Amino acid sequence: MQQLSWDFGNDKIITSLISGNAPDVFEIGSTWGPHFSQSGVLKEITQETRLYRSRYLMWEPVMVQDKVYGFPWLVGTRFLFYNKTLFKKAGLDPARPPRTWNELLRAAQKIKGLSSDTYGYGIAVAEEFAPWHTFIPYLWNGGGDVLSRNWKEVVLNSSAARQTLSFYQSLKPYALLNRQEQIDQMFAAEKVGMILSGAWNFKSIQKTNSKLEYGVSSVPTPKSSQSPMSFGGGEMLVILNKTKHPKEAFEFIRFLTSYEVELSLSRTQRNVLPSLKTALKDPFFEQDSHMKGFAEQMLTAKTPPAHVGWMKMEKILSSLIDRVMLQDEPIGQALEITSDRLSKILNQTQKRGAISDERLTFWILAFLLILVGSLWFLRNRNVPAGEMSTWVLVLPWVGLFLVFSLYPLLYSLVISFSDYHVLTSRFSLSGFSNYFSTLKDPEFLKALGHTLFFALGTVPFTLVISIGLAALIHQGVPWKSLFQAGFFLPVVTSIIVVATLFTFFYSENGFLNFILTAWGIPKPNPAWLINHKWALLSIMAMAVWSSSGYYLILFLAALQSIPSSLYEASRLDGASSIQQFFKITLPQLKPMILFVMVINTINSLQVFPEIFTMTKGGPARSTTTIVYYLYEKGFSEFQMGTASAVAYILALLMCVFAYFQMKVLREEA
Amino acid sequence: MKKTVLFIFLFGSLLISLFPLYLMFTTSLKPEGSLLAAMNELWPRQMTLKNYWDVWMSGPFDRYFLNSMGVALVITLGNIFLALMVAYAFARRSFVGKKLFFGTILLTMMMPAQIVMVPTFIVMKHFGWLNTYWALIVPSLVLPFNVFLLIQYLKSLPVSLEEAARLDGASPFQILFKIVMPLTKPALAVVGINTFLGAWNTFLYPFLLTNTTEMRTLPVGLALYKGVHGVDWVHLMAGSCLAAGPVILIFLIFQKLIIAGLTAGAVKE
Repeated sequence: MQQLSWDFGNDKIITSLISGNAPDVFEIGSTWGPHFSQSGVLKEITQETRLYRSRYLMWEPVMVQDKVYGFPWLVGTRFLFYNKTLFKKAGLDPARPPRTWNELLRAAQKIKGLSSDTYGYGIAVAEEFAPWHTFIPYLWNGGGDVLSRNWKEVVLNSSAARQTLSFYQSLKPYALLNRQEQIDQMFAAEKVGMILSGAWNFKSIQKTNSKLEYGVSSVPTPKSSQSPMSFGGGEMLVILNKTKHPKEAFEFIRFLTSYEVELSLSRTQRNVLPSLKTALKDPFFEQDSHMKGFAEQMLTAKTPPAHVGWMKMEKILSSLIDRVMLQDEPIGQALEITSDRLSKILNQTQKRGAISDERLTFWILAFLLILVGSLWFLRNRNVPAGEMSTWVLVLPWVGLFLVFSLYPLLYSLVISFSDYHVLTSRFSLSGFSNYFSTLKDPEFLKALGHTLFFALGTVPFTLVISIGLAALIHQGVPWKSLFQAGFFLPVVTSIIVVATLFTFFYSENGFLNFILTAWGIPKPNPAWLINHKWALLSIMAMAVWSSSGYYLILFLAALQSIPSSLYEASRLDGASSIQQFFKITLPQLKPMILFVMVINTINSLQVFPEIFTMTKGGPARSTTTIVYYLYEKGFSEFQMGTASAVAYILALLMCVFAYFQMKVLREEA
Repeated sequence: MKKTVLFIFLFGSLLISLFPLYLMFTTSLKPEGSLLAAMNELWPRQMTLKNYWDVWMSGPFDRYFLNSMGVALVITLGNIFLALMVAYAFARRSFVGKKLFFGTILLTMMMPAQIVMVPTFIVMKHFGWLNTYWALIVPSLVLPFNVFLLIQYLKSLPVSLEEAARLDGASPFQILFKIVMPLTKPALAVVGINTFLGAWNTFLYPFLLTNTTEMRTLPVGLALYKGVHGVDWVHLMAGSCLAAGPVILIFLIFQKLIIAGLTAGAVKE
């Protein structure tokens, strides 16, 4: 059994499906249900589940029309947390949480009035899913929705949605805008009065601030008489088509979904609820006011449409929240753009691939074999006798290279000209359409812009800092090796460590904000990485920090190889050390500058792990770079064809860059 | 006087440069829960090693460490030998398809690693290598950049020594390993250090190609730890220190050798 965090689960399941070593029964998040249900990899269990359909909640994610492909297991929803102490301080009744939008707004205002660093409400922004998951309950309660009932059209752009968004905007002056994790943490630290969040908080509040007095309640609605809807989801148990033990697998599912197991998991974990309706009414929930509020909201929770494109749509909807809340884009305009983008996804048809990937593998391997074979055949004509050792030298590396580098590259080249389905590993040829659609996609052009900005912004800084420091160290400073080693330290630190460290450094209560406050310099609000104006710049600064040391050492080496006679001669001519730097040092360094620029540019154009661990391309997609876009296309939208096309476009771009840099610097020399 | 100003300036820059790492270390020592108030103490008033203990107990970090170390060492040695052999052939011999392969090597250098993720995965599946050390090691044995670098370096070496050795009756492999290899040391040092750092720090491939705890490497262990612990900074910083510490220590012990290797190798590039 393997526990996967929400961030990484998706890639992992896909890869284990491709590899064919997935277990018989596994659980998937409800948002991925439609993808898996329609992919044909899951076993249909309509007959087996007939008896249980009315007794359990949340079947929609694993249903395709009338067919059932999974069993709902543990479920959860979003509900309101409120801080009773802050309520008391602000003169509100701690026994009476806000029921309506007006009450919520008034409570938020009053709590905000307590002090400058206390917030009435927490609004999740700058993430892929949370901003939308914490907004959709309001939209539903306000009478709006995203798709029509039959999922044929987008109905987002409605007066209900406009009203809901403008209500949400009216909360902004009294709210903390941040990522869900930060908001949860600030709620536990008594800095935020109310949040819409999930049951994972029970445990984390217990851990960080066990004395916190808080209550839970349903999501506020426009009118007090309404029954409050919220966003629900959960874990679905599914069986693979390939399983050899279908009967045992289903019995195992029945065991996991029995009254006792579901209830005891809910009692011990305290962050999930049973999907069995009778278990939701177990006396246990009467004793625990927090779990009771959670269970009550669960009964009126709703799952989002079980459309294959829904996950992709959620990301777009989350960036709608970012646009309206962070960038203050006019609501009407933002809704219109978002609706357009949603319609495009809705109209995309999913074709089943015609060719299996095993055939492709066969053809590529055959091609490589023929290539090597013909080279072997030709060898006698060109190579003098007795030079067999050439082949011994070349073959180990080239053999491995063919199989582990060239073959995957050719494979992705073929895929870039086809529609490829990761889940079924089948594809059909589609010509240049991936390339055209990528080049036309405004999201791609934006990602290209961010990537170029990143490269053009970091490369010169890295260059100037590393040359400057190297030149100064070369002046003959005492403890030279201390400086060499010290400046190199960030380079040996793993990028995952660096990214974790800087996420901390740039956070709301991080050191950077602390220093700025202490010096009286205004800090951006919201904090760096969740601010669409600063996020990319923050990551760029980090990249300069973490890579300059490496180039510094290279420049130091190049400096040592400049003959000292050049300097002595110019000193006799009366040149100052600054003149020497520009007349002798820089020209002599030219080959190294060229080398560093090319390498650094290639690395910058490929920036990915930083984005992946720190911002996931957000907020409002402001840090989506080309490789992140590629990753998203391939591993969360399952469009391997498009992803491969993006990679080849990027490779071409890098060749062009490298070519021009070499040309310009050679000409100058 | 000038030297003192220079020293002070460089020392200041060094402090700024090392500050984030210092912050990581001190935060990892702060007791859990005290954070919001004590977050910005430069030297924690209360110190504890409990965070390290918690992280260490939460998963087999010793295993992660050994995996990372073993995999990185094998990849480094493999690259040095394989790349030296093939680069020597490229620099000194002529063979059919030489230009074609050289062009291909240049092209592969330009490709983002993410794109071959799925195909690489499929190859591993065909070989039955998923979740094994083979999957972590073999694809990284042939990094094109190393070959490119060595070819450039070997071309700059004089041929005369090798010819003299051949006249004395040395075999091609004796020439390569006894004469050429010592001369190539600086460039091999660059190859070795780059490859080791790359292999030690890589995240995405080990993450996708392994699925049990025993096979995970340190960055994967840390990233999964981060996924579960969110904004629990004291523990995250302790985990980061555990992941970064060993390499920093190794680097500090061997820094003279490493930097000498890098500087000597860089000159000829």
